[in-house]
Amino acid sequence: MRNALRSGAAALVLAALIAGLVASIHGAHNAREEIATQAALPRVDGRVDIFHSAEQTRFVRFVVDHVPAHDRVRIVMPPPTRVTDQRTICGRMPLVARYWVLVYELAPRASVCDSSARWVVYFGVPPPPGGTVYRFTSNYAVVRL
Amino acid sequence: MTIIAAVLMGLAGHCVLRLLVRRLPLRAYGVLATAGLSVLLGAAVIGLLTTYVAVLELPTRVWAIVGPIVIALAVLGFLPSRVFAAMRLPPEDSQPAVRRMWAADGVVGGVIVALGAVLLTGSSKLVVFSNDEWAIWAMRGRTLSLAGHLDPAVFQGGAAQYQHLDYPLLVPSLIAWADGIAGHPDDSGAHVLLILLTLGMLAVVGWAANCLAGPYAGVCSVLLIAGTPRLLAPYGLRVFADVPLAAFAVALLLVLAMWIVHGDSRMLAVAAALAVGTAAVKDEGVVFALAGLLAALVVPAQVRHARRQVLFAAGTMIASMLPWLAWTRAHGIESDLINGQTLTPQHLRQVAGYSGLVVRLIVHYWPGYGWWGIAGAVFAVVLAVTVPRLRRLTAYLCLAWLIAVVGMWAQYVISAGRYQSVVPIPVELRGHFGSSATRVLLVPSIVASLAIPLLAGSLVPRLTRPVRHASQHRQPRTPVREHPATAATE
Repeated sequence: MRNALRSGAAALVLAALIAGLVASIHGAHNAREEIATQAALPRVDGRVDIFHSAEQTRFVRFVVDHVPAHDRVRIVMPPPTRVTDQRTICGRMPLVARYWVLVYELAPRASVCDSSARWVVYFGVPPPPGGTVYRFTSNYAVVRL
Repeated sequence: MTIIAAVLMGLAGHCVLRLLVRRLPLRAYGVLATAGLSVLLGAAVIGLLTTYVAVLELPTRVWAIVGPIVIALAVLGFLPSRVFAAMRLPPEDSQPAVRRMWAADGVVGGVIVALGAVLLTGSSKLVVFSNDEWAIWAMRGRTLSLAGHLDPAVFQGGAAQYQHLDYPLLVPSLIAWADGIAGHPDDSGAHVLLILLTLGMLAVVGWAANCLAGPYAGVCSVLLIAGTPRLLAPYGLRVFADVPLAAFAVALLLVLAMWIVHGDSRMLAVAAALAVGTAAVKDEGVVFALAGLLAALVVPAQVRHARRQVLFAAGTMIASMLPWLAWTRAHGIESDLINGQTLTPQHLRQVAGYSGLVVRLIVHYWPGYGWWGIAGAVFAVVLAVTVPRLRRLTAYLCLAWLIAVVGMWAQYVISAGRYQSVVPIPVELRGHFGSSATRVLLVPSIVASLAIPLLAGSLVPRLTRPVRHASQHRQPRTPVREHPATAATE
């Protein structure tokens, strides 16, 4: 009985050891691939093009250059062509994934909906007339309120 | 600069560890335990300090308050023993739970070094580039480091869709720490600090498993955890909180097991500090820390006032959470999942009907080694319950696993139906599981895997070299010898 117990335990540990070894080699391989993937991400002016659009990535730099670090911004984006998320931001329904990327890239310039915003960032939307407009392209501009 | 950030974090943790164990950790517990626990405790120190500084509306930039304190702790950890003696810490009479296994610990260390080389080589290329990174963790970290305070527009900014405002600040604090030491936003530094938490967990697990279950358990445990699908990559290489949470929770569960088996009260003190860290990573951390502490309350170490000590450890963890909880409640911030809307009797009655679906989804999405891992764990438990010496450890592991799984099940059930005005509850649940289950169920999945080396490993006979005595003739070879821990138990 004791021998059977020990044999069973030894077999189980051996199986776990082999499974762990194979799986960790696989995990290490995946890690190298992940690192290589991130290293190979397309870059625009030395920065990762996380929008997958050189125009949008350059526009973020344009906003950062114009808006002081501690000013607050309101973001206006076009609605998504297909609604996958019902969240609204400042009464609009943007493509939230892209919104979060933009908010992250603009940090520490906080995104707000209220009157504390000193700037409006038009991201893919032509700005209305009025205010001091810093235009990057026709649909990308930042307006000082 | 990343190296400086990591070394300072580890040295601050070393000081905390020295205060907790009241001895030189390296001498008392060896390299693996000292390195692993120092990294984890250092991260907990930075997380807690930054959180407290932030809620007190003091500057969160590194060099204002947190950095000087961390440096002071790092230096304090190397002061002579008489300085610590002068602090008149409460005396600790028990002996440190140590079993020197140089070869086994060396193999574990070698595996961890190899994994570290794989994960850290090229880490300077790692960037923030996936959804939860920019929407939750890096966003908050960058605000702490660049804005320099808990900017209400971000940390209370529900209207502008800032996400999971209730999440605690340990991971954002580490991002801010890396930024602060580098002097600029440093994606690579944040990744490296989080990778070090993974490696720290592996060191603690390898050391504890060797101590608990003999020389095969350590390397087997480390390989099983490192091989857990998606753990090293992608999750371990992203600025997510899930792998750091697993690092703290798994280390906590193993250190508690050390206390239960060996009765070394220093381990309970370390476990309390790890519980503080676990609760400071993510909301689910409270569930996992309580799972370990409740299991230890039911199956305590066989020492005087054991249950009272566990309650004190749990109280320490809860007390550490209070400043952040008070700040979030004061600003009307609640959990997205468990909150005033989802905890009403009407909502609970409505979602109770989906309990079975949640069980089926847990089975479907179970991460790690899947049901092969569970089958192996069950087999190990069946073997272990036949051995009286292993029943306490078996009961503790099973209880901790069960409480953790039930906790996650309850979280999924209670949080169901939040978007029922938009999508049917079963569709919402499937979406919630699809986006989160392989990450938040990592901890119970790893605990199940660890049952194999921890329980079955104790029963494996140990291969030893024959002892040679100079004064005697050559001894006959005895290639298979019983592991000392297994002797006289069956």
